[in-house]
Amino acid sequence: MTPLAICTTIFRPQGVLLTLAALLAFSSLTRTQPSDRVSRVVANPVQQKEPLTIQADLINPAVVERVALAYRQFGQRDYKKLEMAVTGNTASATIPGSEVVPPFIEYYVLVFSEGSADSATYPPINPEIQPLKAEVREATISNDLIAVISPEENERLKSDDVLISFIVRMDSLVDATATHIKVDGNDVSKHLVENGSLFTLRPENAGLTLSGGSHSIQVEIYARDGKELGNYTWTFSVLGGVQAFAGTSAGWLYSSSVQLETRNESIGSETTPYNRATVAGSGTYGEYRVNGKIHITNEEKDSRQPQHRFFLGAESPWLKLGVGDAYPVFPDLIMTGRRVRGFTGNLTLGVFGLDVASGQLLRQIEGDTIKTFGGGTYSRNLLVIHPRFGKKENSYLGFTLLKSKDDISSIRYGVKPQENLVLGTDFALSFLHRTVEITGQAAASATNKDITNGTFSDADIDSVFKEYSESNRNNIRKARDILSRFITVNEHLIPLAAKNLPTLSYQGAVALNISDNAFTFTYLRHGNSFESFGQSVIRPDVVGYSVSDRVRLVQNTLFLSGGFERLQDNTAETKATTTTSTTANADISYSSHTDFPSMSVGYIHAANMNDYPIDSLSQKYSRVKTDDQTNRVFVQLSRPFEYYGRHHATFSVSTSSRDDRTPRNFDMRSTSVSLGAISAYTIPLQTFVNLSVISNSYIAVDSVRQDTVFRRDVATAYTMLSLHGEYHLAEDRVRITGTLSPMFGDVDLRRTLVGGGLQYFFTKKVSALTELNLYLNGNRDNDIIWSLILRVDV
Amino acid sequence: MNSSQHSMMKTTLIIVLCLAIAAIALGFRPNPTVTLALIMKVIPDVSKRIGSSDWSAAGKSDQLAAGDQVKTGKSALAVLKFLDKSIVRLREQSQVTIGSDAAGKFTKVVQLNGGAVGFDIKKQTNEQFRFTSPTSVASIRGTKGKWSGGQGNDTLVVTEGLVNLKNDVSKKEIDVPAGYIGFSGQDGSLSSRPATPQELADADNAATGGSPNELNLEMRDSNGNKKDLKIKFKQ
Repeated sequence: MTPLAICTTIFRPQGVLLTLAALLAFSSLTRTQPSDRVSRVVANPVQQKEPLTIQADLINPAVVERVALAYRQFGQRDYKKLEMAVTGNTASATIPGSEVVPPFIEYYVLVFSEGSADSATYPPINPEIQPLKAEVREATISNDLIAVISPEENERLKSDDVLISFIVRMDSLVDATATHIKVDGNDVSKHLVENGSLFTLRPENAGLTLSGGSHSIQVEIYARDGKELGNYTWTFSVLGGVQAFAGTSAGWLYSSSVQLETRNESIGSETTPYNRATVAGSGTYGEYRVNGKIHITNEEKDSRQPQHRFFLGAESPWLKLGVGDAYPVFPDLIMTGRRVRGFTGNLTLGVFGLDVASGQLLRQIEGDTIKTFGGGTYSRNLLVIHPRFGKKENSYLGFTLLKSKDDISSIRYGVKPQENLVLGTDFALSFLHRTVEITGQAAASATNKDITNGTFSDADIDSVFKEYSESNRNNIRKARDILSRFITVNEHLIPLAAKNLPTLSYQGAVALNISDNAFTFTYLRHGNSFESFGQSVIRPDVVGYSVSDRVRLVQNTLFLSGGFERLQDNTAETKATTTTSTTANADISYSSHTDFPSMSVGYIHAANMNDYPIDSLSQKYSRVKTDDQTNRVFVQLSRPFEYYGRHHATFSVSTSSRDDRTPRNFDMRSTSVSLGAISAYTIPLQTFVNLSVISNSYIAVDSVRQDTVFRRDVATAYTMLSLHGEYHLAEDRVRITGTLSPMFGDVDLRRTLVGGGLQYFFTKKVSALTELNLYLNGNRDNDIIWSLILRVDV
Repeated sequence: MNSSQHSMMKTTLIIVLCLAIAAIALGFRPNPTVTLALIMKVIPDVSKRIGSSDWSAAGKSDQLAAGDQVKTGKSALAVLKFLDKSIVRLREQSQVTIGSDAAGKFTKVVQLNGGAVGFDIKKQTNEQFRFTSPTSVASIRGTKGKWSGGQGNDTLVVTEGLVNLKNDVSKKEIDVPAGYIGFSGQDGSLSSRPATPQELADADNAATGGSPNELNLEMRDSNGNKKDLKIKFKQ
């Protein structure tokens, strides 16, 4: 929802019910913390099991090579990573719905600059300990929000036989009287008959005449506080000769937009201009849809991976085809989040499905032999095929083949072109209306780290394996002849040995979704040499399990959750020791329907330990030795109230303490206290105010000489204040925004953000937006970012 | 793993185990919804009896709960749809009582008091669907067919799936598979044999609402007036 849409919603006469939802959305737009790399992060609150999209606005994207999102669920020790898709100065990634569970998802953003192995993070200070949080609301109704009784999805029946009926999984939070229904886009909610959880509608009572052809029904469910809990749309067809006589058709429905942007960033002593144009359009004709997008920018350079974006796609109910830049999704061991320029397609024929992606993963960049002596980047092509038997949303069995290879001839000066082959399988089993869901996937990879000289010749085998007998060398030749059909075979091929299956990864989960309970057991094993060119952020070398359960009690006002996770590394048994990480967590949340605040209290205990021996001073201070325990407690209170408008206030306290039991004794303590309020006033003004006080203390070792350790206590504390306002005037034709966000304390990143924006709507669909942000850096040069965006929607 | 970790892990596992048991205990309980079925279609003489009230005309979208009855007159038809999407079609001069039984597994019951019904029963998960008469009980698990009788001797034709047919007099049971017809008599007899093509076609017609030899077309003229065109043909 755009800020304008939010405001429009709030100040409609009937918009009161939606005000809170709008406030929550508004809060997500204004998370501002001074940073050199990221100006803003947006994460709209979601309900559990809904995909969570996180969007980061980048500063100086011209030097950004890639952006990753690190995230974890409440109670997890380790962060998972997703590659973020970068377009212009926006990076975005979507966390799969299966991983989105209450009370929140913790995350931070990693920005990798070109030519640097290190990453900048957002938030910039202690991101792992003080990450950002995305609120995840409880699913107030069970997974199947609505059970359709009639007409069923895609049912064909006579017009006189149409009776619309459905069941809403009702609980105390659902406002049955607010249920909305639209038939072919017509709101006929007032004709809906409610009897407990069962809703019926006779089309003739609503004055509906259902002619032959396809019709759609949309049902929207709301909570008592006005939040939309979900909606469901399905279609059915009316039989008979009417269709032939009437010959009616909705014709083409289309939309398009053009956006022009100029942006100027003065960071330190360097000024970078950006000029971008984006044209997007889509058209729908019945069940068929076409869409396209072109993004042109002056950041496009031969020395970088492509910055222009284009895509053209066409969809029918059974076939989707696309050409251009796409981010295809396959089993996540093999490919998620990577951009491919080429062809993507999905075919669905009943219980058979086929997903295909083919194209260029990396563009060739010639090596520089004059200035930097850097090796170039080979053009890397990729093909992924994923046939599937069964229905994706229920039970299915799938297989995946990924083949990716660097094109040696694409550049003259490069180092170690590579090749990758991954074979995998995935499945899902769903029983008892998805009460029991079992999912799993496994994949094995083979990677050749240098294919410069191609596959072994017979002479190469005789030379490399000269100590082997002739019969063994013959066996190797036979194996080469078979394997070389799929991947280049030489001494750089991984795996060369099958001991401990280092290139095998698998994971599985059992979920029980029983009424008011959600129980999950997960087991995973990722080999330490497993590699897929389609998946750059999977964590290697880990094996273990986790169990979690979440119970809803007292008519869905009280939520209890608990979990346990145990992970180990050293899957190939090649490390000196195996480190075991265990995490236990418990959380109790109360969702208030009265003036009493909603509350959430959580506790996490995490421990990491291995049995690495300590016999010498160097071993004492080796980072290999691990033995630490961390306790973390958080409390959050929130309450809406009214005072010249509607407000939602939140107070939270989080503290963690790590006890390092190794001789290093790197103890750490961190505490944060935050108080904030988001408000929509009776005048067209919205504000966001937040005050956070954060303190960290830890021990740093400067050096170790003989038996003396030079260490010091380090304590940092800083305060962040964020003030943001948005005011609408001239009948919503003008929108003014302002931001003031100073950061006080004893940190190097002390700075103040002063920003403002003005958007003017020439018509409802033509607008201009200008924004100016000043970063006052104290002793350093100030940074200035200015942008102007013209947008036309058709 | 040291003792404190071991203790913590043990405590956590016990908590999680308790939560899982609570989940299972709380989870498998019947839906307390009162309404069991909806009347989807009435042609034309269909009556209902809600609880112990008098018989009255039934209409589309009427809701039926346990104990409610529906009957059809001569040349009449009624289509009932249960909330699990199972469909029961009452043929002319038939009468059924809707019921439920929460002892053990939650069970929906259609008692046939006379006449015949076609059925298209969705596969039951943690529930059961049962047809009864004074003589017999047919336990259904996702199948189609026709159930007739209700006044002493019952006949069951199965066109899809499998039905367990029990004679309440003799307590005998048999499984009636697709393509078979079962007979249950008030003398305790219970038998089955392959159904004839005519018997199967009739049962399929009763279950699905269509005739294999009949095509129904809805026509509408320029003034919006509708007429049904029925075309009967020979195979």
